[in-house]
Amino acid sequence: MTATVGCTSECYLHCVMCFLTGQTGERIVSIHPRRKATPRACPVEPQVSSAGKAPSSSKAKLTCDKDDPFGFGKVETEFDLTLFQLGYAFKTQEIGCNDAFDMRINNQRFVGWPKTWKPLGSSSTNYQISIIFALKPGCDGQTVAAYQTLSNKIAVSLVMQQNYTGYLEREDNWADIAERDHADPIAEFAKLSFMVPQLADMYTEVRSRGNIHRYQSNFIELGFCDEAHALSRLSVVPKGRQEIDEIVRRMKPYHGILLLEDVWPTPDANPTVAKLLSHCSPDRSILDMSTASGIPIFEVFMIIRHLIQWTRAILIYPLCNTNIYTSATSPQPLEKMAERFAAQFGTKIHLAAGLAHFNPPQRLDTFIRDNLTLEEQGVRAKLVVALLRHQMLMQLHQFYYILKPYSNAVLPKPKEPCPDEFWKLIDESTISDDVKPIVADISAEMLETVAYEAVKRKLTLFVQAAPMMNGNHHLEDIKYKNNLDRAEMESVFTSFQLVIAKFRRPDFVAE
Amino acid sequence: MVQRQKTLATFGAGPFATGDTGGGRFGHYTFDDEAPKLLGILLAEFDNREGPIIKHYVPRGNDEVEATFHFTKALIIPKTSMFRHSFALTIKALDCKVLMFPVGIDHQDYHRGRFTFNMSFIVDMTSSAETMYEPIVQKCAEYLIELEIEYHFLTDSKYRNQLYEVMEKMFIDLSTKGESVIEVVIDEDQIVTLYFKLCPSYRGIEPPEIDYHMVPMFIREVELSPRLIEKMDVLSQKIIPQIDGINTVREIAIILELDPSLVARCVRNLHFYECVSLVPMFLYWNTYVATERVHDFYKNQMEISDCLEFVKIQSATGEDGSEIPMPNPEFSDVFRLYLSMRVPDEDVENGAIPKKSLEQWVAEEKPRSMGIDEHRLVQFGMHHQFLRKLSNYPICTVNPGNNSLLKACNGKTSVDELALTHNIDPGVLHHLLKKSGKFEFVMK
Repeated sequence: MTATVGCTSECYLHCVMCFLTGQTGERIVSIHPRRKATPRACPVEPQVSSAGKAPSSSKAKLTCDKDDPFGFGKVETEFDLTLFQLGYAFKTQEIGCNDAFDMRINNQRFVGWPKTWKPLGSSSTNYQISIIFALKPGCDGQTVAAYQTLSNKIAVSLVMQQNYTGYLEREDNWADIAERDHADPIAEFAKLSFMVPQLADMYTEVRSRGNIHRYQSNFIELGFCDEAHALSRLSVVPKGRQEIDEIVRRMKPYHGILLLEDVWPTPDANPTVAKLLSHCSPDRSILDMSTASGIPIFEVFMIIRHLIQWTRAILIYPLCNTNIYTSATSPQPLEKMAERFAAQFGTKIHLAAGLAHFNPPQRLDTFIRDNLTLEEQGVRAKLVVALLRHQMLMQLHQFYYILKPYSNAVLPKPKEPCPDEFWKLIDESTISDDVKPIVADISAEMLETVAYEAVKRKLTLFVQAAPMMNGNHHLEDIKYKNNLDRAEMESVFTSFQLVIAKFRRPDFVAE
Repeated sequence: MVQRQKTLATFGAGPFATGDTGGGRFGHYTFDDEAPKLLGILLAEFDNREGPIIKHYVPRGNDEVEATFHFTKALIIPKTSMFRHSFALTIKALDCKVLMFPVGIDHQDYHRGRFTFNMSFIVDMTSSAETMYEPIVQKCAEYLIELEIEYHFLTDSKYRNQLYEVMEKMFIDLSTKGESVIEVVIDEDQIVTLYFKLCPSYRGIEPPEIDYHMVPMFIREVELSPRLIEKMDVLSQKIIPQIDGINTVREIAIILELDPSLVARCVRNLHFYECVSLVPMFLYWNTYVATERVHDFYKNQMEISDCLEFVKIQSATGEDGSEIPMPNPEFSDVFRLYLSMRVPDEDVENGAIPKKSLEQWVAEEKPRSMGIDEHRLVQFGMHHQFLRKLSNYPICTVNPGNNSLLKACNGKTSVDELALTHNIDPGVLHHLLKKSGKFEFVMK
């Protein structure tokens, strides 16, 4: 399935710089894109009142000296600083090298990962290379971490090339040449350098797609994903690396996936990826996909984890007729989406009709009805998938709490007391003490109409599920973890409904 | 904690929950949530013999402050061209962020004609809200510049102890209260007062407009003593005592015989400073549904005890005027009542909107028999976003052209809001829109 509906996605990447120390000293040799420098603000002198005890006749004033840099240092930037000043600020002591760098200057954030490098044949001199990203205000910690990782990856690849071919030494020499006789050393260096065009390409790729997959100098593989930007570009709720890792950690065989874009495995990809993708559909769970493709479930997990981490897919619950969906409550840019939906699905069904159908929450089979034509059913199924993908629809799950009944509820009054065997089961359970006698009474009352073994089975299942009935686990999860049948579990919950409170909400791990 | 959606999609709790479509954060800010821990404050200066040195630091005996100084020495006292720029550097090795604002003062009285100093703040690295301290760092530098130029407060040895006390008080106050007012005594007769206050990062954003039908509700415990009321402006003196979590902005205006826009302006101000939150008007005709945040409530013992205290029926009197003792609410009842506020599953097949008004809900659940005041239950739930008001949103399925009503039916404006704008009964408007066949209705 291809991306159909776009939304305004924001990329926090503002510009990329290369900070290089070499034989000539520290300097920023590249800045991309180059924007018009802002006129430099002159610090305002504070007013000294005449009543003040000025220590002597002349007036004290704030220091406002200017440097006299040359070459790259002279270049004014949009950040109200010259490249010389920025370079001075970025110069990291050796102790801070090989670690994440994060600095804010006048509300502008700069992040990177400085690395040390040595000239070929030298064992003592340590120079620095750092790819610095200027990020827009408002970016969160995960975005910062993502760009620091990218900076590290680029720096590692550059240092590796330096160790093979003296790459950085060469770049440093070209920087000297560009600086020596040219009025615009940045432009001159861009013409000479191998590194600058690569950085510019990466900048463009990140801005447009949110991820990078390329080979540095045709041999060092470099991959990066700004997850939040890549997802928001595809109109999906942006999630950072940490959240995605958490989703991956909590992935279960009963989950499914929804591909966000056409995924074409690279020629050197594992052949099982292509095989799995051919068995991938929104109505299949991970377990189903493993069974259908014959790929071991562990391997399926690995591939899906990879797809999710590279924002090629999102985790969902497989489409099923009994699933209950509701439309999301946040306002969505409906007008534009409606137009695009109409372009994709035709005018037979309006986007609003799909949303209206699922609010109040409805089962899927009430929307994709059997009495519709197959074509209509297909269109509706696609509409649901599209709504799910853009998270305009959310699946609701049933969560359970064990709670005392209402204080005015009619409590069971069994004729016979609860058998000791049942009491033992209840006593050893995690059920709270105020609920235990009621559970015993319910079981005892049930014995009046149901066979002993059947009641015992129900009570055992209830006690078994009790630790998960705290609002954190939905029915699917309880069923899966206890290896139970759905209908049986529902019948148990119905029998003990007096001490159960139910609540329907989305499971935000998968949404 | 239930994980929630960040931007595009929400179920329940979100801006809609309070009707605060301009941004859900207003009125739900707490100091403890955001402010990063202040680890230390250091005053560095350039010594003409030793170079950059620490003059004072608080808390005393904290080796990490010194380690931080040695790590960032070159930025704390940088080249002169870098003066009066704000720097914030993260030091992963020390798990902290240093906020700096180096300053130099030129005057012939100083040795070498220049005095260079920097009052830096060191904050915990785990919070990303260190920007809250940036204005304070700059403000502090501006105060010190003034004090130094006027009174040689930083360089005169007689102020040495006082300077340290100022730093210590600032550190303690900002760490505990988020604000500090310090009096600096100059020459035993003059007092200069310094004011510092941490501001949440969203300050500076225009607060949302106040709808006259919203109900302001205090979210801070304020004891309205006559002394406190005296300090307020005339308008606030009148309006604030009327805020009871029940009266709408318009009702307050009617009670006080004031223009509603004046009341709205005052309430907006209170809203901005997190004194009040705004909840939709309580109506028995409304439908309220529980949001996923009710799960957080289940686990929050403090909120539970607050709730049990708040929702109990305050006083009930019998026909003879005597007070009827009411039972104390139980948590299981309150929680079950919140969970029972939901869109009913039945009746869907009939095509009718399965809306259950609060009136119907009260008749079914009888909260008063459990000692629970449904009005207070709803207001507590709305304020904490366990509940949200269910509204019907019309979406126009035809080209709206230049028709303003059709344009307004974009899924973002509820029938209730449209009815208010066009001064028509919501039921009648809903019927008319439905009859035209040009709309789909989404309840959310």
